[in-house]
Amino acid sequence: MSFFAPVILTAATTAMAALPLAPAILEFIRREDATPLPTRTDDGDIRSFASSFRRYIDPLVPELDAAASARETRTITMPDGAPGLLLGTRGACDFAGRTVEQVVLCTQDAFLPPQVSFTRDLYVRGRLVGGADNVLRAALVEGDASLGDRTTLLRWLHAKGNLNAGRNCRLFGRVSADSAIFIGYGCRFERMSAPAIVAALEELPPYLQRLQNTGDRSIIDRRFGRLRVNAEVHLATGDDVQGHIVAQGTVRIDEGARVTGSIKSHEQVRLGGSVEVHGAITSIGRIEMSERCFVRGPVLCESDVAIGTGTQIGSPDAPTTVSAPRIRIAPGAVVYGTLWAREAGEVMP
Amino acid sequence: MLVHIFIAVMALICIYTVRHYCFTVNRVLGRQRHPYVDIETADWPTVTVFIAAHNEEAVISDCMRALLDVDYPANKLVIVPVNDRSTDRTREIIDDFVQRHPGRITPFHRTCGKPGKAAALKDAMTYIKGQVFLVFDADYIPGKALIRQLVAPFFDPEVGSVMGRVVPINVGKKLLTRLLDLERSGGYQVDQQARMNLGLVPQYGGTVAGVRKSALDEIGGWSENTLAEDTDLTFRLLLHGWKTVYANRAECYEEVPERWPVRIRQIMRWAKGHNQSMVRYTAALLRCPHVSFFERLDGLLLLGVYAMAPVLLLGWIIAVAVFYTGAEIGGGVAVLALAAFTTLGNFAAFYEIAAAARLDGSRQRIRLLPLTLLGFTVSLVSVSRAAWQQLWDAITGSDMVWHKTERTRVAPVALTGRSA
Repeated sequence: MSFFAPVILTAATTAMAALPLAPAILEFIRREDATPLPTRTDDGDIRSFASSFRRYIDPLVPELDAAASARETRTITMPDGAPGLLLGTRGACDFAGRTVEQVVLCTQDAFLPPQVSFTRDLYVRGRLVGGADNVLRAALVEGDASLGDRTTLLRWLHAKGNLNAGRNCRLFGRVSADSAIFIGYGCRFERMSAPAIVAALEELPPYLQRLQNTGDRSIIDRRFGRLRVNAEVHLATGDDVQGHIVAQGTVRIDEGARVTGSIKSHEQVRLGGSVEVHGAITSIGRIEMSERCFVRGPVLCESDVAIGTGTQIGSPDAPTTVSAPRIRIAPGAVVYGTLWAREAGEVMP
Repeated sequence: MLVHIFIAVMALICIYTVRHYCFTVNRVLGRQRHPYVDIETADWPTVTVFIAAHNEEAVISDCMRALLDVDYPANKLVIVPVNDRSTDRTREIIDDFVQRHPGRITPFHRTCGKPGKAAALKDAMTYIKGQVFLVFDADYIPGKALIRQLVAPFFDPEVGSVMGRVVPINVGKKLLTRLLDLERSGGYQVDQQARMNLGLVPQYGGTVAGVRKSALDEIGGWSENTLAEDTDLTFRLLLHGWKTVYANRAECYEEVPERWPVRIRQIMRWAKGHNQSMVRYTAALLRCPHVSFFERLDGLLLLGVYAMAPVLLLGWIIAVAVFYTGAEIGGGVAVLALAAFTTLGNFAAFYEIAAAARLDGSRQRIRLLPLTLLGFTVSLVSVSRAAWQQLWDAITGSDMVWHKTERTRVAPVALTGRSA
């Protein structure tokens, strides 16, 4: 037997045994992926896309001013090389029936004709009045924005004033306004945020102050105890519960009852007409609110939320969040704060 | 007799194996629950953030600077550095921050008393009012949205405590830090989130974590007589009908040990504390009427997780003994169990790590997976040693000693981040 035979056998065996470790050893030596995992550093603001777009167009402000003074239309190149169109005049844009493939910067009010599609972002320094069947990729509007019926928004829109969305709009992505959002019948939405979000009304209805003495009471704090029930909970008309309710079954609250605290259900929550909940509602199953209910805190659901006519969620001085995979909101309902439908939101037609 | 013990050990290992697989499969293929992550606007409650600090001059500045920069209403955020008998410059650094940011920081300097984080927090909380208490270790660096992410679950009146995700910041320093990075990924990204998804028992981890004041009052406050106040709190809350939830997107950087002796001391402390909780709460959990069957099962398995290391070692020793004694181990089922025990069973936890690396979008670091066997072996021996010491201490009546984890940071860190 050759002297080399056992040596080769040993070397081959060692190599085979070490082979599975080779990628590990190489990565340890080369350190190709040795940085900390990136964590979330943004503040979660719905307006973050609008803010970054504003930063993107900031270098063009002198050009915007010049075009506005000269009242002329210019073709420009954006800071990243994308094609841009600068509109210096106020009034109707000559886009009828077209697909616009530039970033459009309007220095004054803009009136869009019907059936225009924008494949890039839109900036309006004044008021935006959209036509029917427009398709917007993303828009930043420094004044009020009014979207025509059946408008489709693909990514985000922020209006410094009010946002009015006509009937049957489809608002994908993030929609926000610094004043209020009025969303028409049959509109679909994903994520909206504004001091007030009003469904299918042209004006913000007066806020109804429901309970005067809760000003200094936090909805987190447990002042009056916690009612924990391993079954269904049913509150009758006129009942007034001071404390939190945690139920394994469905929580059913009849018309006019009041809970000064939060509600948690592992099944469903059903609120009758004019029910007041001065706290949050959390439910694994469906949440149904009838007409004229009031909920002070966040509404969190892992299934569907139905918000009845005239219902108010949150308040002008304490905006809140409604979050669920699917949200249906009836005409006349108002949410002060954020509506977040992870799968689909809809204003009932 | 030997064979029966061996079969019992195998059965236990198989139970934990199934547990690991269930968690991994759920995390990769199941419905993911993040019920509180979308709360963007709300009437936020007053929050007190405690920074537990014992000789933390190397790291506490980064933590306080980050907390002063978080996106939470300043008038509802109280920052309380809990300086626990520090002998280095910790006090000086804290007082400097207090001077430079008047009204934002309420320091608590503790010069005597029982050592340990739980005891220090208990003392500090006596003087502080608030509805929600968040706790950070001094080496943690919270991001801007972290406080809101940790507070949001408390709008649910069933939630007693919340746990965020810990991400190592000193990953690239040593082999140990790289292995701990993978281990943490598996533990949080898969293990904790799967428990959250399945409605089981996510664990309060003691840092990047929060507790509801009223829940804490109801269970009698922090327990000083434990080496793992986090596990202790998790189970006391559970037994009183409060839930702990895990917020996977509430991420925070931490500094992991860079030296093996430090890591060994750390894991031995965790093991002893955890085993204390096992002894204290196993019977109570079995009797508790508030918890579901699956919560009870998961809770029991969680309590026993550090006890499995000596059990596994015992299994290996018995396996060798069974082989050499030629003992009859029975039919095909036993052979199958033995095969499962010696192959898949022992590697189930590594599937969690692999799944976590994939979920995190890591590409190259997963190649280090075979080397985690090294960390696993060290942990196995250390945890077994801790169990033995604990048993010995119980026999001899010795007190257990709390060891602080040594910090190695020498300069402020630069962070990397991503958008939502």
